[in-house]
Amino acid sequence: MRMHHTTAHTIAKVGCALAIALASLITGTPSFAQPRDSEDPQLQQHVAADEKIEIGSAEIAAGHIDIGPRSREGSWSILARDDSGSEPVWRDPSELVIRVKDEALLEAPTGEDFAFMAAQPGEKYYVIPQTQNPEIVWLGWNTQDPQITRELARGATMRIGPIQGPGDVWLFLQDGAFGAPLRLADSRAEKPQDIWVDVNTHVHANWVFSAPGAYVARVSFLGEMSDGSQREAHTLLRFAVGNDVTADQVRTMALEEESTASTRSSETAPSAQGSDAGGDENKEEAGVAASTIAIGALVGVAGLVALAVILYRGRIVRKEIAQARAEQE
Amino acid sequence: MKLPRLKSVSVLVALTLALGGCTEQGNHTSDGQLRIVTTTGILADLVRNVAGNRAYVSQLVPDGADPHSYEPSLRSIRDVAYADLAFSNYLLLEQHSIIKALDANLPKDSLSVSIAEEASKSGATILPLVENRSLDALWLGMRVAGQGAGATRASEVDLTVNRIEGSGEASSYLTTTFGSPEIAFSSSDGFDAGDGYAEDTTVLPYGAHQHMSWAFTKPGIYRIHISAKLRINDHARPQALKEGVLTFAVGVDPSEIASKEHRLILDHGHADVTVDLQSERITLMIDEVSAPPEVQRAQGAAFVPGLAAFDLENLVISVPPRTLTEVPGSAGFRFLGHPGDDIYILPQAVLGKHVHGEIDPHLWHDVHNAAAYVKVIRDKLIAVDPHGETYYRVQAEHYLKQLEEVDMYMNKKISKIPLEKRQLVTTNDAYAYLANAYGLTIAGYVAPHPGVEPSLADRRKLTSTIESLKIKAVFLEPQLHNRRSPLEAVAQQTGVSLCTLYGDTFDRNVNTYLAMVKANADELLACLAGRSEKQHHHNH
Repeated sequence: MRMHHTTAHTIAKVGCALAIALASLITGTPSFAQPRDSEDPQLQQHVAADEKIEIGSAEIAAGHIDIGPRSREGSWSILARDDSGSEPVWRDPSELVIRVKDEALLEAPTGEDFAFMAAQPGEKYYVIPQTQNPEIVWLGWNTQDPQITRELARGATMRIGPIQGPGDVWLFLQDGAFGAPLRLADSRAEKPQDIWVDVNTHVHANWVFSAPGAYVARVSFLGEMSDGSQREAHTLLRFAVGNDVTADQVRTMALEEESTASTRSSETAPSAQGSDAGGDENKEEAGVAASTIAIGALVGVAGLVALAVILYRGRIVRKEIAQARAEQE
Repeated sequence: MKLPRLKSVSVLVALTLALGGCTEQGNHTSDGQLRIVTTTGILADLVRNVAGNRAYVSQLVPDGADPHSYEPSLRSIRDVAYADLAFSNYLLLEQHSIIKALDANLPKDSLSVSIAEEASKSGATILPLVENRSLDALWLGMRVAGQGAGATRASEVDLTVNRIEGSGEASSYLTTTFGSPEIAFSSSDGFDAGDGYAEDTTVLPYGAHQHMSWAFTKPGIYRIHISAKLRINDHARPQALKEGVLTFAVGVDPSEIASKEHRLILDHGHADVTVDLQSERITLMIDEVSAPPEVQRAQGAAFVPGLAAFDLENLVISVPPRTLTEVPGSAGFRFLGHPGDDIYILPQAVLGKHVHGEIDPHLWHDVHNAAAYVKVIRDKLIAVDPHGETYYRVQAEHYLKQLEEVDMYMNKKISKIPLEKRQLVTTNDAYAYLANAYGLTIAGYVAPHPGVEPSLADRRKLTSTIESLKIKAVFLEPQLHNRRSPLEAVAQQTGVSLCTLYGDTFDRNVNTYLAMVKANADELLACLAGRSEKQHHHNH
């Protein structure tokens, strides 16, 4: 068996670099010579000397990416740690195009365990595998941000959906003990699907796309803190499946909302460049999807959800992004 | 089916209330007592001990009935309609119709408390509900860590298994997306030095971390001999690192070899067989949070944040009997044996152990949690009946002392059971708190929870667990005696004692929480310590 080379950036590295990066994000060397916003001295601490939040769009076709919640100033955002380049960088997941190349095509399974896919013999599906293939992007998730590990009571719920695109999409896990594949998300589901992620864990699973094209999926992380308060953050994942679809087609694809959800905050609008403390509702969570929502009411039984929601702006993180953006220009 | 039935129950209740309500004034009983309704008898007992003579307490689920499946009666719903205060355990313990009956019929101004949920916010120990026990094992991967020996990002490591010792065959493999295996090593076709063990070698890039399954065909102790070679680049001669030997206790109690060879048992959390380029040898890297503090760390090992390095000779990896499964029929798995053969597996992914994030609801089997329940009860009683505050505080204080004593009683009894005999085999997976609080091991059960029919394979697995762990007794809840329980059949088949352990409900002999803990403590000692002859614990 061979685990190939481009995998130099693998979980071990990620784990360690992640810890270092996040530790330094919190306590580390300031990379801005002068804080531009005198109201917010915290800005000085946000970006580590050796690991930057990379602003702007990117396309990743091979290598390791993890998404996960990150906690700053009592508010959550979701960031992607992109370990595909020579140096790891942090990105806003919604600015990322995840390319699933034609090399990712596999014979679709027709066995009993995969009857849910209803594949026809001879069909081929695009696969981001649970176990690493160096030719193909490797997409996982984690709850290993040091601040997150300190704050979370037990773990977080990763909520996936809606997932939209020209074909069907499945996320499932192989436990390697002959169990049927454990289905975690399915684009055909009517509601978003919840996956529990214990605190301080890192997981990879299989993503399967039945047809080439542009796909977009909403991902949220929701968690209860040790002090009983709730946090959540949302983002979009954008997939370019196959070699033909262009990154622009994927970037401009909007997520069609079936109905106005209670946490309608994530839009496919362009990044909130230079946005400050103000901003209107629609800009919420553009850029780094950063709305942190303190849920004041309990989620009721029988699907009735009564939410008294106080929206905090993801002000700090958006400022940080804006600042970094300005810095780059 | 349940909805319409409940509806009709509600309608009937409304009628009953309309007729019977004429004579009642307000929610209090005629002598001014509070009316309290609980779901289970255990909760009712805890409440009575705090509420004393200031309340009339009734329970929805009668003693001897299982709260997981009991549907409330019309009469018990009438109690709900008059209650000032309702206590359920919940966390999905009770049958949902019980909770719906509470929600639908409790007066608007009465207080409804999910006591386990409240207690878990105020100091109770909570355990995740294990959805698949066979995935409740060590998560063992492979890793390349550290810098040194001239390695760069372009370097590769060959990790080779060149020999195993053990009672059966051993192997390791990846399960790919659509279920076919990729073999890392397999002893079943031998180890061929002639081709440099090419078939039993995994190529790992610099900095790699990968997870795979580890499989063993028979119970016993296994030694897996691992060598590693570093190839700095494509042209360089491979440099051999120091060999290492991994020790596994498969399907047997690992404590025997652990004490004989001064090893620590590694049986949960995450660990990686690590090619350490800094110390140029093989180590086991374990998540810092689950790393044993009493074992010395490996000297000079690579540093990976969040992980701690240990020498292989200080550890034994446990592959518990609950990981036993059967070789599947598909041709790709023939290296493991014939379809249907026994096979013990450490899984390549463990997320399925706990994918819904629920909490095990049986908190009260840890007496400290019962104490947390009592504190919640005290506070809620005071909230509803502030005039009784002093009374409730005194009552609770007195009862908490009794709980402390019974906790000590349980500890004392368990401490008399030899370590390797502290194994629990029960009907359902409902004793995780008992095991966690008092140092027992959940060795097995017939089915994870009530309502799941055990398969033939489940039964075979249980039998094999009892035999390989040399278990002497299994534990049945009293209400299940004389009901042709599958556990009784397994006990007969394996010739072990059938003992009694109280779980969710009381019976005629034991109808208080304190008595229940004592009865369980006595029974555990009598049955597990191995002194008693065959037990006959049929309750009358």
